[in-house]
Amino acid sequence: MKTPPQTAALRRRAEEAVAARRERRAHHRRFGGVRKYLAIIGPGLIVANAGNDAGGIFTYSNTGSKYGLNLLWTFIPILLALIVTQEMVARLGCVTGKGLMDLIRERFGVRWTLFASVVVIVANGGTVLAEFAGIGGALGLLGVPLPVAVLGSAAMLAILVLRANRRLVERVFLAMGLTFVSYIVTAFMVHPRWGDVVRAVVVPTLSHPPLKPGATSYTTDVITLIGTTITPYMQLFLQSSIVDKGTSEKELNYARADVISGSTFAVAVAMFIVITTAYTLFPHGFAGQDLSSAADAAQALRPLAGDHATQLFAVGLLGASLLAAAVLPLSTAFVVCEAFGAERSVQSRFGEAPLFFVLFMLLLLTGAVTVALLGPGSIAAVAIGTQTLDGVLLPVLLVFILILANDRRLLGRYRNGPVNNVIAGALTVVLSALTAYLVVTTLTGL
Amino acid sequence: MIFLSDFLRADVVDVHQRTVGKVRDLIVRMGDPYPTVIALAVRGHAAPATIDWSVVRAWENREISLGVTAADLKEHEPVPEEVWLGRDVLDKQIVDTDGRRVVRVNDLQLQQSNGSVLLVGVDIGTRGLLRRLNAEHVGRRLRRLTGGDLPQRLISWDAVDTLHSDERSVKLRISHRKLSKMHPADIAEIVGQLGGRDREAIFASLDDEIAADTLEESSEEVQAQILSRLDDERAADILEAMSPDEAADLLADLPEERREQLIAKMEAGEAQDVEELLAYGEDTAGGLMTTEYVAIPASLTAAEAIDRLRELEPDAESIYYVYVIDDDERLLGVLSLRDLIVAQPATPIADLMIKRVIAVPVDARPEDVAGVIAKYNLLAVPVVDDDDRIQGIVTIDDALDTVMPAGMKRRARAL
Repeated sequence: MKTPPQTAALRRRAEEAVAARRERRAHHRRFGGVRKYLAIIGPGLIVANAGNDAGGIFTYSNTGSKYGLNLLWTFIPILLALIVTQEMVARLGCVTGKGLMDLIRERFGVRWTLFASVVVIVANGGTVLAEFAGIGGALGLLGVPLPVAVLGSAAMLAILVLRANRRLVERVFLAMGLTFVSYIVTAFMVHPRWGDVVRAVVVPTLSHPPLKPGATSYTTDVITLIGTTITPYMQLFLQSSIVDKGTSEKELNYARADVISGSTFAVAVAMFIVITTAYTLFPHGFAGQDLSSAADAAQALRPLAGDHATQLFAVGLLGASLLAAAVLPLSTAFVVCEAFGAERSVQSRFGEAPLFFVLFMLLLLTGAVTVALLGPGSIAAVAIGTQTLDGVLLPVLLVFILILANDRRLLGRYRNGPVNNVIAGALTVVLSALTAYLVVTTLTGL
Repeated sequence: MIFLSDFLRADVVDVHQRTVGKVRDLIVRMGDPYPTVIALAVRGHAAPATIDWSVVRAWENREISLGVTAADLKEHEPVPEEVWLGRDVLDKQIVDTDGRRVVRVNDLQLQQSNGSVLLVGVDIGTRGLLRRLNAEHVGRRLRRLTGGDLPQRLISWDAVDTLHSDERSVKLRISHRKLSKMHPADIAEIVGQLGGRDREAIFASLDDEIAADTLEESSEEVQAQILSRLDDERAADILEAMSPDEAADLLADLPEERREQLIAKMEAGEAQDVEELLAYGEDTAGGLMTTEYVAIPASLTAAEAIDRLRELEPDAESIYYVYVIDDDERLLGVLSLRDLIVAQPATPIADLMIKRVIAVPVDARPEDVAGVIAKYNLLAVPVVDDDDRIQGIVTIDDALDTVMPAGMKRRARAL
């Protein structure tokens, strides 16, 4: 029924119209291309970036200011363990197409799922606490009173997460958090002696400056460092995002490359924070004692930003903390509900998905209220202490991951090889031993 | 009521009351409508790993009595369609095709019938969870304090569709027969709740028409993921079955290379429609419209027009209005299907049609298109270019989608 235009004038007009369409289409393509690129930033990179949250920044700053370069060597084994752990999780996601909590439920049954859920809720709840400490610290530097800062942020996050365009919000926070790349620049500006740095990275040492009374022990600090770099929630998120994308075992090598580059980037940023603080704070009276405030931590950026160091630090800390505080309660509630088969969706009404909303609000409010009650003086201690908790709980999740990754029925020829088992097993044993040592020394008062 | 959890870890005793082991699992043969228990899997030294159900004499109070001595027990002969309930079904995700959602199996309900035991239902409620934790009584007692009781949330086995993306449990993969009978919007809702692997498995099992309808109802993320993973032929088949406007929207979101590949695999006619639509900006009437509409020359009579409709077999959504055009595709008039049917067969349609057609330009904004449809109470509105030539139509459902907030569509599920 379509008759071609018959006159020359009509034909010319038709050609013009086609040209105009092409133009519009090309525009759409260019724009669409950028959008697609943003959408496929690897889960590994995002997860690794999430590691540089409030807890991470305080812990790495504290490591450098308290120990100088002395703990730098631990990052090599930590990186190795991080890659091995994340690779197992990525492999589980690619091959089974299921999330970590799902696999725990299906392989171990209801009891173990309940146990794992409690561990995950406690660990993630602790991390949310650290994020609110970060929010309180950052807004405190900008002059906002603590209760207003944390309770206001909690209310804002609840509304944003449940009602607004979450994607956009996450990108804004992510962009703010990226200001922490400025630690890399600062590290070069303080002109470290690179020979010392390299030696500190490759030569393990147990020596460290004498610790001041009241400072946390060396053992605690090592657990904390591991716990903030290899967090339980990272493993859950990485596997979930791989499952959501439907990445298959054929693409396992891409997922592996993503894990390796993401982990390496995260650990590199962590090392630069340690190097920067080791050269800025450590020599100026911070050796052997714990960071007591966000204001102290912010001074590390002074060589780069001068008098604006405080503001720069505050913006970065705020973005990183808000991002994690927005994501953590939601995804924790989600994975737990999924494991128990409960309704879960931000679009549901409260009555349809009570467990989901209760968990979400519980995590968010507990974090905000606790920080408000503890007061401004304990912000750094809370941010760092919760990372110790992560480190203590990590082995529990690692045991689940190890058993699953060795399951022949589940993974077939993709199950763990000896290298994986040795490295992840060693991490589990070392962390458990450190925790046991910590418990014993604390109890006996040695 | 009997549940699988009553059997798991129950003691197995032989005819002399000697304990031979504990129940590890129940093995069923899949059947219609209900699977039948055919064997026990046993953990223990004194018995084979599996025992035929036929030697079970009685069972009560977490004890299973066998009718033979331990020495006479023989290994159960595996059958091809057998499924281990604890291993393959319990704790897994399933689709509740009545409730239209994805749920998890907390327990399995069994029933005795003519000497055999059948799997009749799935417990998806809190009571099932508590039973697994040996805390059902505690939970009910607590709930009674507030004057209620914990409800049983059971769904019948025939309202269940199992999900199996895992090749190693082929036995359960029963073709998503029940799922494919659901409304595509409900299938899409379920697909949205699943991981990537299960999604692909479901799409692989649906026929092209249903897959196309389901894809149209799915979120953009699901659409892009499914299309980037299906093989080219199958993806092209599904795209052809979709309405051209939906197919074009979907293709516009794919990377260019993949888009060209898929268009190349489509039938020439459908591919051309889609390419024309792709040329329009997403947020214009052109991007919203479909090229499936009925247009006839003014020279026909009512009877001829109806014959023409029979030949064309237009889709449901495009038959609301019949557009009348001249040789240059300029829009002359419109008539409704009703006008056509009630008219005398010999009447020329030029006499029947409404000459002042409400139309929108190709670059109109979607809100304005929706506004026009609402104002004039239309089911569809034609889209015309600068010379008044019809390019396509926007139907009311597509216009509604653009003005309705995303959350509201989800909400509709609860109704």
